[in-house]
Amino acid sequence: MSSFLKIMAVSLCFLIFTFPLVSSNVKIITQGLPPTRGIHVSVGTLPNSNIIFISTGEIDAYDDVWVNPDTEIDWYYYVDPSGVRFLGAECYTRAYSMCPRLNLNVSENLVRFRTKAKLVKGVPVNDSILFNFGKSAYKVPVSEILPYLWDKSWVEYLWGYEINDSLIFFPRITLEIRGANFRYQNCSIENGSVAVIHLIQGYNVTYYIKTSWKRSKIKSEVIDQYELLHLLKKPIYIFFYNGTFKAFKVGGINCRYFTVLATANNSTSVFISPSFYYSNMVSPFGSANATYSHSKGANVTFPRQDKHEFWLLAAILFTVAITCLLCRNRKNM
Amino acid sequence: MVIPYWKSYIPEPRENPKGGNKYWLDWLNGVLSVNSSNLQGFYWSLESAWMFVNYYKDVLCNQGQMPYVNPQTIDILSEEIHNRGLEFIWIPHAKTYALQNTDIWPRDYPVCGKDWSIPGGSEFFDLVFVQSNYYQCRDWYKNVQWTDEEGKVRTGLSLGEWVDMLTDINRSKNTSNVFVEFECDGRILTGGDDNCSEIWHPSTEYKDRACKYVECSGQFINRAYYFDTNLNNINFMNGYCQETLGEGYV
Repeated sequence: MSSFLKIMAVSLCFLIFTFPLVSSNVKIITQGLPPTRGIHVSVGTLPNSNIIFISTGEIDAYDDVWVNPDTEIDWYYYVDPSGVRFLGAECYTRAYSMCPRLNLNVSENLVRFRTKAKLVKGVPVNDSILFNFGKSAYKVPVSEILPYLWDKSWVEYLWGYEINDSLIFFPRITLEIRGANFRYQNCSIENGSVAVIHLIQGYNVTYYIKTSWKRSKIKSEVIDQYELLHLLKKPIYIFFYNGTFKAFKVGGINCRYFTVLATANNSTSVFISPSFYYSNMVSPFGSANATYSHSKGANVTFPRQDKHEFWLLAAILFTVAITCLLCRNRKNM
Repeated sequence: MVIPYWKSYIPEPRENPKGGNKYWLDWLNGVLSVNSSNLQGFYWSLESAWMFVNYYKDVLCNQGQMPYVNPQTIDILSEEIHNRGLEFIWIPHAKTYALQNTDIWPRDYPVCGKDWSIPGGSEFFDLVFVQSNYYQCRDWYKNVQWTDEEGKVRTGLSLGEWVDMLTDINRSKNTSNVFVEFECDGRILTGGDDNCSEIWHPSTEYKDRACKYVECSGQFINRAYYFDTNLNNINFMNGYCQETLGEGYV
């Protein structure tokens, strides 16, 4: 069960069982994610090197700080034909609750695995992407790569380097997910004391490339929660090609929910708001277990588990409604 | 006099923040070329408490988040201002449980896989007043989750704890020019939404938040005040804190 539904379930069960004893008004409000909040994930390499470098953090555009520096984390990976190795992470703030607690010496690992690498931009040619290193070149069919990209626009922004007669490449982009429009759904349940206010949220998903200190937008679109869940099922991949194509997943974006309790004038409100975080999917010094063939990840479908969660939420809301009605009838008797 | 960082109506700095140094220096000399007995000093308008570390990150591995500025730019401006016998002031906002990881003080810090000595604003500015944003974001302080030195996840941070952090860093860095900004605005009279949680609170809540600064930061000899654009707010708070705490706001 997702953390959101756990929170909802616990909160609602608490309300159901304590409701007859509660004299104050209680509201549970699923709060929207405003356009000033979200997450950014940037994929690149350390300059002129083979080290894959992923920079992540929560967007919290308060005044002129556009990200929340307490949540910024840099993740380092090394890729070879056998798979991906996770070299460690550097948190801007060690006190960030999502900062990974790892017994890895990042500096030592970077010295050990770092080599010089010349980065080349892939050029779309017919149905392939051409990586031309002068003395050698690699042509990777677009159809092999596409299932692993969040959007087909990323095909234009693939960069790679050569290592041991093989090609390592990745989408050199920054992706951002922010809140967009939201509206309250007309399914609130009220009987004077308890209200559950549900929200329909839109999300703005934007892809950027960076040039010097400026950045250029590749694509931006507003999607609904269903489409976002669908998108988040797809990890961030790094690719390998030596005639055979391999996709290594390195990390994914997850959603979690925060509760904020506010009390004023004999009423209590529980605000539940979403936030996103990046999670590493590679074991430290792990290898082949992170490899996926393209036949596995090609068709991403909405998982059955989420459908179960939808029905669970519906059942909880129905139970609350019945409880409220019973309580109202008892008061009227 | 405020030195502008941003272009008017465009979210871009007035000069390449990696360090052209021409625009801001010319701007400064333009202002200084006018004789004014009222001019006491300059205020650097970029309030990000992370304005140097993101410069380092961008230069070292092309991943720095805007806005940022090359510390050399601030050093050059500072020298020019001090040569004229004027003051240079900075009021960064640092709504954080990790004040030691801001660019307010100098520090050794890992960026893009290596340790670097990053300068701090306290080295360039005569006076630094740190915004906690507790007044605007008390619900953030109340609900923030962070991990303490023992690895225990904690919820909530009080303004007093935040001020203690600032005082401890001043002591450990041997710094005597970093203080606290006292914040309030029109919500002390009308109530309004908390900036971070966007939950509405009545005016009493905001009056108490504003008085907290007196309670927690009264020991600072230098203070900066943010009171919206209405001087009456500060007069009102002076009376309110005197009445409830026995100590004036100003």
